[in-house]
Amino acid sequence: MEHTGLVFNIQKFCIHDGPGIRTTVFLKGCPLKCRWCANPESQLEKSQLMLDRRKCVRCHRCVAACPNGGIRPDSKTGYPVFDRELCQSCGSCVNACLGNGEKALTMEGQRMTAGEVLKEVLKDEVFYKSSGGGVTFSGGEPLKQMDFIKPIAKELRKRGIHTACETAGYVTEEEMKEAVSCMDLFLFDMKHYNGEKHLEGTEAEQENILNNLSLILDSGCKVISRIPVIPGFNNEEADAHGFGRLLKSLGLREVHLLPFHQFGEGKYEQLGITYQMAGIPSMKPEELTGMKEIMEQYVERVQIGG
Amino acid sequence: MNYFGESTKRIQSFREELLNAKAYISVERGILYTQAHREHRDCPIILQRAHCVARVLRDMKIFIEDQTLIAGNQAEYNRAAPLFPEYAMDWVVEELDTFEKRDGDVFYVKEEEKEVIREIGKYWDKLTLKDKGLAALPPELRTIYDLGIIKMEGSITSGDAHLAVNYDKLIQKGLGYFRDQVLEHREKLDLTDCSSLEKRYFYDASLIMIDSTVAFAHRFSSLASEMAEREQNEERKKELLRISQICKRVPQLPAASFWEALQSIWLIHLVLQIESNGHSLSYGRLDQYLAPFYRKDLEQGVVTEESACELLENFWLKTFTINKVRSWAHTQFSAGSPLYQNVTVGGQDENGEDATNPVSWLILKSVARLRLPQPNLTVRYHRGLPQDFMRECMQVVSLGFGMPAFNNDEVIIPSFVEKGVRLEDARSYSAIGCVEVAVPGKWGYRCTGMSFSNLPRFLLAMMNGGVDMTSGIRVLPPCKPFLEVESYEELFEEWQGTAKKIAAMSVMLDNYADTVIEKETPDILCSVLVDDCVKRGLHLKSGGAVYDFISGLQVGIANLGDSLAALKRCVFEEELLSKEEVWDALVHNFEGEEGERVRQILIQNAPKYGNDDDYVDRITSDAYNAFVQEIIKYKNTRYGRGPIGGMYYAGTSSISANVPQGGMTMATPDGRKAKSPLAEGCSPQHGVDVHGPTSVFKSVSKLPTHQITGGVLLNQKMNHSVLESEKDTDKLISIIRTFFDSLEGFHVQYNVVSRETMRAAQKHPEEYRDLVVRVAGYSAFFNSLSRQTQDDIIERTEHTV
Repeated sequence: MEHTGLVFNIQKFCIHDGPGIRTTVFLKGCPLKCRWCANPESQLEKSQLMLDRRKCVRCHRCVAACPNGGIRPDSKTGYPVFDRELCQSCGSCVNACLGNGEKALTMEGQRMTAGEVLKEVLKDEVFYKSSGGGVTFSGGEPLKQMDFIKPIAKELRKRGIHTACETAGYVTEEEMKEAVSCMDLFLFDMKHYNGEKHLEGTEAEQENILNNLSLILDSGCKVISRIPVIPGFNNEEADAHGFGRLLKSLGLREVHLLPFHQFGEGKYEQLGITYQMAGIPSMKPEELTGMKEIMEQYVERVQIGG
Repeated sequence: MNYFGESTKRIQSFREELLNAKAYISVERGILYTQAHREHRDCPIILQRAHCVARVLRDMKIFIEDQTLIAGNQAEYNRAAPLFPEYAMDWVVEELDTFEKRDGDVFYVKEEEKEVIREIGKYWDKLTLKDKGLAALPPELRTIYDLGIIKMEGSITSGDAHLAVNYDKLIQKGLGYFRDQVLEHREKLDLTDCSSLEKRYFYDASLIMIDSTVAFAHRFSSLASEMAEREQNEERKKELLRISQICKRVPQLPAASFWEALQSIWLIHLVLQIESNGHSLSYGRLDQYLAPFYRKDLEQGVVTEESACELLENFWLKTFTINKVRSWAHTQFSAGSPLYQNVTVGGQDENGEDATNPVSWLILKSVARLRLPQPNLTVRYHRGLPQDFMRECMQVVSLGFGMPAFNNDEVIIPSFVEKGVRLEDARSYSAIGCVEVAVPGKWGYRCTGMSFSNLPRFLLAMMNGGVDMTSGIRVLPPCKPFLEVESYEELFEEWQGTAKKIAAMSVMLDNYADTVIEKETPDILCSVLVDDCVKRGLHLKSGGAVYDFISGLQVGIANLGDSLAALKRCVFEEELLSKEEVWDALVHNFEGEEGERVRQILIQNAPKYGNDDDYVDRITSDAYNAFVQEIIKYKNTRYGRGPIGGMYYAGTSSISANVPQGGMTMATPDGRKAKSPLAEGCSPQHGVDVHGPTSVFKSVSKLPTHQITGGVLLNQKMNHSVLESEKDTDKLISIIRTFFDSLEGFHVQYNVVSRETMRAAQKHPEEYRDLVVRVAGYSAFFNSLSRQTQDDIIERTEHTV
C-alpha cells in the first residue's frame, strides 16, 4: 500500500459506470491523444494548475505567492498567466487564492498512496455490498499505474467488492495481465475499427490494443466495449458496420455508444490548452439510434449512454 | 397522464375550488367562544372550556359542499382560519392590517370584522394563555423568550396537538363506548377525597364534549336531509340521503363501512381542530385501521378500488380545508401555513411482520393524485418492506411534491423499547406531524416539546463571554471569551458547559409553558381519546397518557459542527489564522477584503459535515451529544403522575426555523454570514455536501441517533434524472435501504423539483399555483412561502448522477 499514484478525482455515488452504486477513482496520465478528450486534465501524468476565470478577481495573490516567479498578470486582461515550465506543482498559489468565494485556482492531480485511496473508497463499502456495486478505476489510463491500483483492487476483491476499470487498452501485455488478475469488469474504450483512422484520431497504434483486448477475452473476464461517437470521425453508417464486424469477430456481446459532448470544453481554457473540437455541437442520444440499430445486427446488446 | 390515474370530475372540481379559495380569518369561533366564556365565568376552567367549545359546535355555520361525500367544516369558509382567542389575541389585533401584506402566508380579514376582532381582543386582555404564560415567566427566562434564542412563542400562543388519537378504537367501538367509560369511571369517584374533584370536572367536561360532538354530527345529518329534499339531481339526492344516514350513526356508533369509518374519523379530527388549534394533529396508521373495513366492503361489493380511492381523495381534500393563522414571527418558523396532519402507512405489525396492505397502496395513490401539501404522508420503512411497494413510493417521490417521507422502524422501534415502551406498542408507532414519532392513542401531547434552541447563536454568545452577539444582552453566565481560550480542548470544554445550560433553559421554558397550559387550556375530547386519561381521570397535560416523552428542537447542528471544526483546524492546529483575526472578522460579518480572506480560509481549509469526513463529523456529533446527553436527564411536568417516561430527549425536526433563527444569528466561524439561514434538521449546511448522497448518509449516521428520538430530519434534493429509469430508481432505493438497514438512519425525504422550476415559479407565480415543495419535514405551496424561504430551498444541494 506504499505505492503512490496521481489521482485527480474520487467520485462517489456513480451509477452509470458498472453495476450497483460505485465510486470512481480518476487517475492522471494517458498515452492516447484523442482530440475530443472530455477530461483534458487527465492527459498529463503530473499535477496541473487550472484557472477558472469566472471565479478570478485578479487580486494577484497567486503572483506574489509563486516561489519560482512563474506567474505574471496579463498586461491586457489582468488575469494571471502561468509559465508551466517553471511550475513545480507546490500549490502555493492555490493556497493563496481566494477567488470570488470559491477558489479560482485548483491543482488537478494529487499524489496519494494506495492505502489512502483504499481508505477513501471503503467509506462507501456498505453501499457497494447492498447494491452489488464497487469501485471503478478510470482516467486517463488507469492501467498505466498498475503498481498503484493493483494492491487496491486486490484488497477490494478480498472483501468481496466488485472492481472495474475503464481503459483504452493501450498498455503493455504485462500491465494488461496484471489488470486481468484483479478486475471483474473491463469497460473497454474503442475509438475506431480501422487501424489507420485509429492512429489518426488518437496517435496510437491499434494492433497492441486489439491484442490486449483478446488477452482479456481469453481470460474469461467480462468486457463491455464503449465507443465515443465523434462527429466526422466515426459516426457514419459505414462506421456502425465496421465496428459491428470488428466486435463480432472478437466475440464481444455488449457495447455502449457514448454520444459526443462538450462538457470538457471549459477545462481546456482553464488548463491553457487549445481545444480542436471547439464549437462542434454535442450529439443528442437520439442521433445514435441509427447506429444502434445497425450494430444490433452484430452485437447482442447495444445501449446508448453508459 | 399521471401514473396514478386521474381523479373523478367532482374531486377535480373540489380540488380546484380549494386551490382558488382565499384564506380568510374567520371570526365566528372567536365570537361564540367568547360569548360562552363570559356566561360560564363561574365554572371550573375545564368545564368552562367544554361549554365554550360546545357553543361553537352548536352555533357555528355548517355547510356541505356540492362535490363532497364527507361532511364537516371547520369555519365559515373552507381554508379560512378560525380565531382562537383563548390562546392569544395581542398579535391578532396588532397584525389586523398587515395580514394581507405579508411576504408569505397571506390571510384576509373582512373590513367589517376588524372591529369585532378588536372588541374580542379587549375582552381577553390579561386572560389569554399568552398573557398568563408571560406573567408566569421569571425575568431571566423572559429575556431568553424575548430574544428568541430559544424560541417558544408557538407554545403559549396556540394549542398543543402533535399526537394521533385512538382512531382505531373509535371506528371499531364508536364514541358511545368512550362515553360509557367516562360514566363508569365517574361512578367510582369518591368525592370525599379532595383529589377526586378535579377528576369529576374532567369527566363532566368530557360528557359535554362527547354529547356536543354527537349533536354536531347530527346537525350535518339534518342538513344533508334538508338538502336532499331540495336536490333535483337524483344521483346527488341519493348521496345526500346516505350522508344524512351516516352522520346520524357515526361517530357515535361503530362504523359499519369504509365510508362510515372515514366520516367518523373526519368528524372527530375536525372537532379536535375546533377544540384546539395545535397543529400536527395526525391520523396515525390509517392503512391499518381502515383495512378491515375496506376488505369487507370490497368482498360485499359495497366499494370498488376506484370508489374507495375517491372517498380517500375526498377525505384528503377535507383535510386540506383546515387552516391555521399564526403571528408573523411564528409564521417564519412554520412557513407555508402547514397543519402537518400526518398519515402513516407501511411498517411492521405487532409481530414484526410487514404490515403493508391494499389500503397502504390506495393511500399512496390517492395522495399522489391530489399532490397537495396536506396530508403529510409518511412511509414506515423496515427491512421487509416489499420492493414493489418501495418502487410505488418512488413513483410518488418523482412527482416532486416532497412525499412520502421515510421513517425507519429499524432504529425507531428499538429506540422506543430502550426507553420503556412495550414492544407491541413501539411497533404500532406512527409519524406525528413531520418526522417525530409517537404511539397513536397512547402518547401525550406535543411530542416535540415546545422550544427551538438556536445552538450556533449560543456558540457565539459563549465565544463572547456569555453575551448574545445579536442583542448585546447576557444569555449565559460569564464564561471564558474566545480570545482568552488557549486550546481547542478548552474551547470544547466551554461548549460542553454551554450545552448543559441550554438544555436546562429549554427544559425550564417547556415546563413553564406546560404548567400554564395545563391550568388554562386543557383539551378535553382529545384527552378522552387517548389511553389512559379516562381511567386515571386526568387530561393529557396532567399526566393522563400511557407514554409521555417530549423532545426539544435543536437548530443549526451542522453550523455548530462546521464552526468548531474550522476553529480547531485553522486556529489551533494549523495556525492559519490567529484568534484575533477570526474574532475581528466575525464581529464585522467578514466585511472588507481582510474579512473575506479570513472567511475563505475558514471555508476552504476545514472539512464540512456532510462529506463523510470523520474529523468534522466527530466534532459535530460530540458537540451535539453534549446537549443530547444532558437533556435526557430532565423530567417533564407529567413525571411521576402516571405516564411511562415523563422525560425529555433530543430532536431536530426544526421545520423551517432554520431561516428565521439564522436571521437572528450573526456571522459564524463556519464562514456563514450574519442573518443567512442555518442548516436545517440534521442536514448539512446548504451547498457544502459535495460528495453526494452516500456521503451525507454516512455523516448523518455518526450522530447519536438512538438518543435523538424526537427525530433526525434529513432533506435530500434529487435531480429528476435519478428517477427516470427503473434501474436508476432501484439504485436510489438501494441507498435508502442501506441508510436504514446498515447505518441506522432515522428519516429521509426528497425534493425532486428542479431549481429551474422553482426559479420559474418565482418569476411567474400565477402559473405555479399548485407547485408543492418540501420545506423541512412537511410540504407547502411554493407560492405561500416568503422569498427568503424560497431562496433557501432553491439553494439546497441538488444531487445528480
